[in-house]
Amino acid sequence: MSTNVTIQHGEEINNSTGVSTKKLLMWTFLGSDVMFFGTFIATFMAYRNKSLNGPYPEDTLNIPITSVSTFVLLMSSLGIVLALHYLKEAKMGLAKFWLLLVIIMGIIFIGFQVYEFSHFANMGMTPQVNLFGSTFFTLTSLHGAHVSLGILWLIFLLINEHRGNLNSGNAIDLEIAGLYWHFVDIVWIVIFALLYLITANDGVPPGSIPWIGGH
Amino acid sequence: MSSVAKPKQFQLPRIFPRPTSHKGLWYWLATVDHKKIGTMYGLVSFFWFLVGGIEALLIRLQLGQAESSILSPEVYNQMFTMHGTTMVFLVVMPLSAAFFNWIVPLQIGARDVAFPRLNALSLWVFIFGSILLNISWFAGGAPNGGWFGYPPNSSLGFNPGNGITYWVMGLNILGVASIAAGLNFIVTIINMRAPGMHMMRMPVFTWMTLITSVLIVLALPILAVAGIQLTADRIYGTNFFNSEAGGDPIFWQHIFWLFGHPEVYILILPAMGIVSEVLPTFSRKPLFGYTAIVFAGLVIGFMGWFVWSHHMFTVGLGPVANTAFTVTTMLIAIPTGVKIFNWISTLWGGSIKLNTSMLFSIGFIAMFTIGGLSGVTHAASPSDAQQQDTYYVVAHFHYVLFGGSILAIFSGIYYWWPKFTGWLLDEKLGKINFVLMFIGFNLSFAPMHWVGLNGMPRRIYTYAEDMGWESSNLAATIGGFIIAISVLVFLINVILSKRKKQHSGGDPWDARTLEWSIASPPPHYNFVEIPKVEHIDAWWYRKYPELLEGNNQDIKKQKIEVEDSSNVDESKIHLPDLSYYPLVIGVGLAIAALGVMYTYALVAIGLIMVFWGSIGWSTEPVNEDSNEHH
Amino acid sequence: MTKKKLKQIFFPLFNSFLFIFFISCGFGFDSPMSTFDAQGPVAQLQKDLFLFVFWLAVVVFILVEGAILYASYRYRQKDEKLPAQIHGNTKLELMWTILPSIIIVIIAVPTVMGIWKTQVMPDEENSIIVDSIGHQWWFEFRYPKEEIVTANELHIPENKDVIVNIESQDVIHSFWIPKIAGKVDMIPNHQNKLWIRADNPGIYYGQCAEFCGIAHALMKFRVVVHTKEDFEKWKNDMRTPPAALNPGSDEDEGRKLFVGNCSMCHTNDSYKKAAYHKEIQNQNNRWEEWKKDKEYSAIVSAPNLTHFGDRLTIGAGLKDNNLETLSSWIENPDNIKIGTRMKNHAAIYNSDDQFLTSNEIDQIAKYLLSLKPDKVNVITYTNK
Repeated sequence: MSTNVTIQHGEEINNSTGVSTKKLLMWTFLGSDVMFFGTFIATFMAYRNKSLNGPYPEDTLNIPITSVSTFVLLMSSLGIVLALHYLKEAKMGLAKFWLLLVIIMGIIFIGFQVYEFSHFANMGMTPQVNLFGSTFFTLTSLHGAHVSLGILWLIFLLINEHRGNLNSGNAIDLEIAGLYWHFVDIVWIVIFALLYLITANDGVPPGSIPWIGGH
Repeated sequence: MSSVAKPKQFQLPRIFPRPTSHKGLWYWLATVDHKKIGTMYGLVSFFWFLVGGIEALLIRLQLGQAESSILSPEVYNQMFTMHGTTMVFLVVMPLSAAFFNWIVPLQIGARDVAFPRLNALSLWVFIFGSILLNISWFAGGAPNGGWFGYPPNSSLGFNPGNGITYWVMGLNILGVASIAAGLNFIVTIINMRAPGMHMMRMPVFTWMTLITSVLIVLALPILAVAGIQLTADRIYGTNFFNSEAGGDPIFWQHIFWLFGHPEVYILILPAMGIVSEVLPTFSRKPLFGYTAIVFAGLVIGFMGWFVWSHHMFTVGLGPVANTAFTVTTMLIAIPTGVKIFNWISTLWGGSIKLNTSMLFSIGFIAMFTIGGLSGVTHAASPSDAQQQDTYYVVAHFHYVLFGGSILAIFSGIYYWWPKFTGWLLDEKLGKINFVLMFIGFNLSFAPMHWVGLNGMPRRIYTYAEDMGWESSNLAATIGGFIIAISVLVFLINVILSKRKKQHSGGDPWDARTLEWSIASPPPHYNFVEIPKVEHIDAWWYRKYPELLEGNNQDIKKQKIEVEDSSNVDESKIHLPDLSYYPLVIGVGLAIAALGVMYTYALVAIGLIMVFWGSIGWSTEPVNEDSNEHH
Repeated sequence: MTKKKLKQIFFPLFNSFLFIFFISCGFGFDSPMSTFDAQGPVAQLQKDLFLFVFWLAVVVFILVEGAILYASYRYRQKDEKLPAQIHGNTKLELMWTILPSIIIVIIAVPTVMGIWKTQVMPDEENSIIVDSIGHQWWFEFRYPKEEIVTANELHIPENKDVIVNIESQDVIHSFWIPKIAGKVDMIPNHQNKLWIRADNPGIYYGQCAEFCGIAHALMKFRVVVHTKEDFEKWKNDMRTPPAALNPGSDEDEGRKLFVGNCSMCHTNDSYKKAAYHKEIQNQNNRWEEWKKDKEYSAIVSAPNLTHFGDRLTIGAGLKDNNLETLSSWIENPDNIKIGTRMKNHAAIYNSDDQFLTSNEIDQIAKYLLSLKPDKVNVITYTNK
């Protein structure tokens, strides 16, 4: 934690633990969100290779393209770290630049997803067509919704930065958005690893992993 | 930072001015005061208690005789679905929230919760979510799939119409309210304790609130996922529980019970917290084994995650899984027993005042023990194969939920009523309330143990004459009506006592914790001066410091006054201003949920309201005259 | 607290407990669905295990409730003096953590043994195999080895292992014969197994025990446990065609009406050779048809009615099988069971020109009651 942060009225560093109350709220919320995504991911894993008909992951998922968008999202996490750093140092020009870049990278990520979804729809992969469609689309859409809300939040912060209302004195507001952004990024890494890297390369004939008792 | 005046913060232009008056309807709609919010939680959830009770009476009327046709099977199925859903989500959880709201900030020496507007949001989302759920009665039929909504029966193919969709949408919205409250209370308890109040000096009720809140923020998202998946299946045709596409109905059960089992601890831990406050006060001695009780609560909260499939013993998980869950379920009886023995030891050797609140708490221990013991018989998976889905289960959970949670909540009502209002509830009527409720409850639910073992399944709208179940069912019906009379007695008590207005003063019970160190009702800022805490039971030892030197039993009852709030310069005290944005978001969410079932126009309106409320809230300063933000 | 007030509170409480206790003793456990009248090893083990835990629980109950009552009475407030301000006692804490743990172990051992005893299937070679499929709101029974199909009545021999393969076609149901064994759920896409064995011949009651929709309360079945010889006779009977009908009789007219109005959903000639696999195929086809249009399909999967005249009950274990109840059922199933697919889908209730007259109903009923194997073996068992 940078030592030249002035404590503002309402910053509440003199509370029972010394941890900012807002930050504590965000961490607790992220713990809750872990259970949310965890359950969706568990659903995906439970239903992996159980679709009774195609399209199947190996037909539809495009690892190279998704790797690019994953990279972009990962870099945006670096971007927000830099944006926060410069904000705390009161280097507003750089702070605004990096924050804007993060927003653009987020929008690029969402753009890739929109492209991917429409491509899948053209291939006949929809949420209704099989288990893979249902689990894939709900999980990635909800993640995308989290990213989108994050983008809106960051735009809001950028506007505040521009007007001077977000500055080195209340940098914690960006820090908290950063925590959320990193969380969303980490969830994506898990999704990318499980949905794309592992499942798309399963190579197992669909339906060959039987239910208990078989069907 | 330089001392240049900060640029004026952008505020969303207001359609309505920000309320400032502390009177009138606008005040109640825009308040962020934890005490007012607690009162509203209590009033609304008590209303739902009456509704859920009527639903129960209708069920009992139908089952009082064999082959009755008071309710058609369709209406009956809606009735038991709504009774269960109402009692769990609209009564016990929000009544607990009412107590969290009122009591926790007072017990930890704070002026309010960490995020007062978030607190108001929880309230309004709850209120409108509960209304949304009940609109279904008038919109083509209430949900009829049970409070647990197992697919495929709850899937669109077998359950067309909007009933079940109302159910999942309602639950998801209520989940948002619970999670928001849970987050708020975790942060409040961890970060806003008065100086000197270490964790192990907190009152047990606050501890139980903390553990419950952690369970809430971890378990409700799981239910949210199940709800989203079932909604997606019903509205968008996805395949999560569609067996024709390879979906697995058991998967719903796993997700539901991963939520559902921690949920029952969410329902009972606050009650255990209440009882842990009442027993020491009216035994005139400390809670026996404070550390053990706190620790047992933590252990129960933790172990509660590992038992969920005991609700699924008959599903065919196999002997290995059934063994594992049998063992974990049996183990959880141990910390539960530890609590019970510590409560009894609190009574033991005490100077017990058997007033209404105390009678309810003692009744809690007695009834919860019975419920816990029938729970142990359930833990044995082979015999559970006979008990599952029979009235034996209904008996078990009513003993722990009614004999447990509800009795404890009534104990809390009688105990803290003077703190909320400044006047006392009548003791004579209170005792009649207790005796009638106790008798009615036992008469209603005890026979269910044996009628269940005698083969009567659950969730059946009628049964044949030659089954030998009639006398038990008749007894249960009569018991139900006695409970209803006892609730009437309670309401009469409230009305008559309000007329009498027997003033209580700040500390009518010579109690132990900080909420009793201030006036009744408390001023809106709670404490004139935030107390400095040096002990557990901080107020008690402030009154009787000689007790710290040893077991001095010759103390004189000190005349320590509660805080005098008559000459306070309120400009020094910093409290947040009113805000109506939480109300806007609460209404918006409910409208959007309604729109999911009917038309996208409503979804759009609802989401616009949510956005308007969110942006308004984030651009609105906590207080208009400073410029700071939360 | 004065003695008078004490009397006002304690004694009513105590008396109400006694009242409830004695009344409940009078209720008894004599239901045809009682889990306490174990008639097979599985139910017996489950009952014995329950009673073992129960009596231990009673001991705990007496100790705990006794302590509560005693403490509340003995230590009630007598004066203003503060009692000894005891905070805790580590020895006690250890004691009442360790002692219950020991009790738990004592309970867990026979429980786990019981799990393995009841949930591991016996050898298939020496067992009767029955496939039981749950439907909304009736039970189908198929015997793959013997190639018999029937509905709502399970026939098994005494003292022989029976493995029931349990599944559902539509929603989750549960297969439960309380006097013989605890239940196992019937779940689509899952094949569960239940081992049962009945000690004594007789008629036993079964019921669905997982909420499955509007008629869940009325989804029952009967289990007929035969002596070994009678079970062989039953198997033969299920292969024996019914007696020929006199042309022009009510029964014969009923047969024609049945063919025209009922046979697209109900099979009643599974005594024929190769009928077993044909019926399974038929049921699958009917289900596929129904799935295509769940609201208006004219075809549903329906109970097999082979040798219906011998069945003890109609409507899935609801009423005795006789002319009066059967006619009422055919006239309008809602009379006996609200919500049936038959009422919602069969043409005779839903199309404008296919309603039956009461004479026709009478004929169909008589026809169905005549469906008995030609060599009738009269078996009389008592209701258990």
